[in-house]
Amino acid sequence: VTPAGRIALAVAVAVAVAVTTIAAAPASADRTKKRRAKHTPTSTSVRIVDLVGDSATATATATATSGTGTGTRTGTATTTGTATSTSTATGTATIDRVASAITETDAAADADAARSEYLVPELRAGSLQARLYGSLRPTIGVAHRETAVERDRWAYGFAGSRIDVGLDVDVGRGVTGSLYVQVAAGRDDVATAGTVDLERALVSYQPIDVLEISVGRDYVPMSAQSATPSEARVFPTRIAIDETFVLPADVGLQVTTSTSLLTAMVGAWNGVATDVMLEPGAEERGLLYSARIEATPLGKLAFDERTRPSSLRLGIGAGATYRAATAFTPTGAAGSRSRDLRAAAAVRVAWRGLFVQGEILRRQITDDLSMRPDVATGGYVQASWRFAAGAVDVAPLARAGIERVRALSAPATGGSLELGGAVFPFARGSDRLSIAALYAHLVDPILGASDEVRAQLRLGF
Amino acid sequence: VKPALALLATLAGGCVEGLEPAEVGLGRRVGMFPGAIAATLPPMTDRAGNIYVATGMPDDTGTPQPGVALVGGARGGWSEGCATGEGARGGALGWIGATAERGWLWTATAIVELDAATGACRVVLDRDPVSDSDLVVLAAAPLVDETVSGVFAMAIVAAGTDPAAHLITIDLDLGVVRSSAALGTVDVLAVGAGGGDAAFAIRDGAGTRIVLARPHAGITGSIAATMPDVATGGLVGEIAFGTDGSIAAVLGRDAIAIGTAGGLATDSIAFAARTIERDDGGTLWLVGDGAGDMPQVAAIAGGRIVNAGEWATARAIDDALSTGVIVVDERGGMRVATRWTAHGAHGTSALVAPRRAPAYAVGARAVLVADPPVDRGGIPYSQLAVVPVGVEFP
Repeated sequence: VTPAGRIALAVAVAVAVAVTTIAAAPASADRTKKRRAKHTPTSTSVRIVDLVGDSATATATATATSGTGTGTRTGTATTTGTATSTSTATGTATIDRVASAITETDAAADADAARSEYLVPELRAGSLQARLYGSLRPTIGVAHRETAVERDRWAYGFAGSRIDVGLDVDVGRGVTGSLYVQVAAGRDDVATAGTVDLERALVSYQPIDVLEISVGRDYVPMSAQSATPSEARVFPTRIAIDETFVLPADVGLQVTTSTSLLTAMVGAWNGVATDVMLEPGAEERGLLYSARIEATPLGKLAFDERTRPSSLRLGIGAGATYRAATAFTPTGAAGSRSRDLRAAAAVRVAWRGLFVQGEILRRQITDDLSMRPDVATGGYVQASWRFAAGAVDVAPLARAGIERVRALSAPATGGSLELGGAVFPFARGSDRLSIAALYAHLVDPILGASDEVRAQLRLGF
Repeated sequence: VKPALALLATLAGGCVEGLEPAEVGLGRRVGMFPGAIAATLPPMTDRAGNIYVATGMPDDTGTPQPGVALVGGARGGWSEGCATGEGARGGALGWIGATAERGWLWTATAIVELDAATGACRVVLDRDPVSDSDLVVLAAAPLVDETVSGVFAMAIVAAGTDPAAHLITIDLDLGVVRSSAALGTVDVLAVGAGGGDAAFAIRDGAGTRIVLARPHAGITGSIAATMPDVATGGLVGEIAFGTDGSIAAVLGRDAIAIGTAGGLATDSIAFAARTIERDDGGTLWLVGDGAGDMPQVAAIAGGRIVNAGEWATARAIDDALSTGVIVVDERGGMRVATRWTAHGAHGTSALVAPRRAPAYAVGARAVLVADPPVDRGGIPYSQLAVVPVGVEFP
């Protein structure tokens, strides 16, 4: 067995045990008061099914027994990117509950399948577990702008290239931490310094299964676009119109309650300054409040464009943020007051390799001085469909968006149309290596139209 | 509770309304300036909501004299102001346009940038790059072309004592001339913009016509136009384009030309036309003064004047201003609200300025108003304020 094979075996066994152990709890029959009450499995067995070269497959079976019944769960994991499990229950458990348990476990299997992608296994030190992950994303782009002067008419280079690194830490007793950093290249056409963007630095506490309290820095999850982490995107970039509506990463506290059918989040954030210019020496302050609720009637659906659930999943959600801020003059006196309200409503559908997402976005900023509302409305639809084509996976990608900005002050319209595809050549079902290429026709509300072709290679680790 | 109500309002499809027609918004004090009529240009606004004001008493011909250019921040505060220019030809003659945080005006001798972030004025172009002689700006079009490469404008200029005029594209970022086309000896009668084109009504040996041009592309077309016979030297007239194809030019009181792309002819109207407004739908309106300085308005449709009459909205706004308007005084870093009994700072109705008022918002204009003047050493001084008002055309 090669060293890589040993690692693969360890990963397969760990995933199989994890899937099975987690799954044993909801499969347990005694769940009359707390549907997702956890029960420590009374027995767990592991069997190595296959070990060839640097890939491995393992199965595990766990049984949990309580006063009125017994649940059994069998899970299988491979280092080529799949993890599945099935369950049975006996005793007083109803058929509905078993079905619900299976749905929940499918979601867990999906998540574990994604986790199994990473080459670096979890690190353990006592009760502490850590997982390091990330990707290298060299990107090449060519853009043409008809209205530009000769120097800028063609822009080409490696802008959009980036490295992202994440670290998840579990210190036990429901306390976890998450860090995610992106290092990006500069502009296409000019050699400039790159940027380092701390997207996420969160400490979370989960006192019970359905409740999580997080504090730290993160994107405010107002829309589906902003709720989807960068590392969970199939498209190389966010859609262009998102810049009008998205709030920058902020520091705050968020409470999330989540079941297989419903997820709700409320948060309070520092409230970073708006993009409206203040006079020199002036300062704007005001907390930002956020709320988002999403119904998933067919089972959990993570904010992950790469998800490939075996059964149909549907997410219908809405979110909003509100910030009332006061601009203080350079002398410290209270000046004008502004209200920044943003809202979004989204529908997401996922089934096997198909992922479709549509969203309507709105932003309205008013103040008591100018009487000149800044109102913008936009929407987009995106779709990706991943399927096997011979020895590789391919995924056609399509995305279109439109926005109307400054509707009540200086109206202008923008939008984008993107068409392309992605190839996953490393192995069937694996996200470890992918190449995505997109043609985009972009219409900036101010700068006008441009066309660009962008290709991104993504190597995950 | 308020955040929750606002959230519910949005989720229920709640919307934001601007100013109602004839509604007078909150005024913002600009400063105190000499002259019973302190300015000829109405205020201009950029995309971010910063307000640009240029003062300058008009002389006997109505041409503004050098004054002060100021910028009011979208969230409050005013710049200290800087001179629009020097000498008798340093008055602001028109706005070129604005981007997010910068605005540009032109005088007879220079193109000037106002930076909203710093409040500073910068002379973008005041010398001919070839002869290095002083530049004479005959007219600059009210058009900025913002691209990934920079911000550009178009003007007709001459160099020093050379009477030959040139149509130039100006790089407003770098302050350089990007392209130039010789026009010969011409008089510029009016200037405007529409559909991405700059428009200049010129008079030369061949007669009068409107020349259309685009930044970088140069001259793109010409429209035959019979213009009123007016003397040059005062304010350059204005040209406006309607979405229905109408084109109108006002060269002075009782000096108008109306038509379409097929040609313009001189016309007349019962009131003293001052300028041309363009509503949010793209319809053109001649506005001016009637008997007793009563604001008048007439629609232009299909290249003809129709439906002239009293402009009730302008009258209502004047009445509201004279009754009392709340003005915020931001001096000393404070925000003190006072009530003014105000009137239009251009000597007539607040909405009837010698120049077209750039749109402040959809259905709204920002007007310059003044409080009753006080005498200081024999010179009347007035406080000026910018007030947003809701506008409706009949």
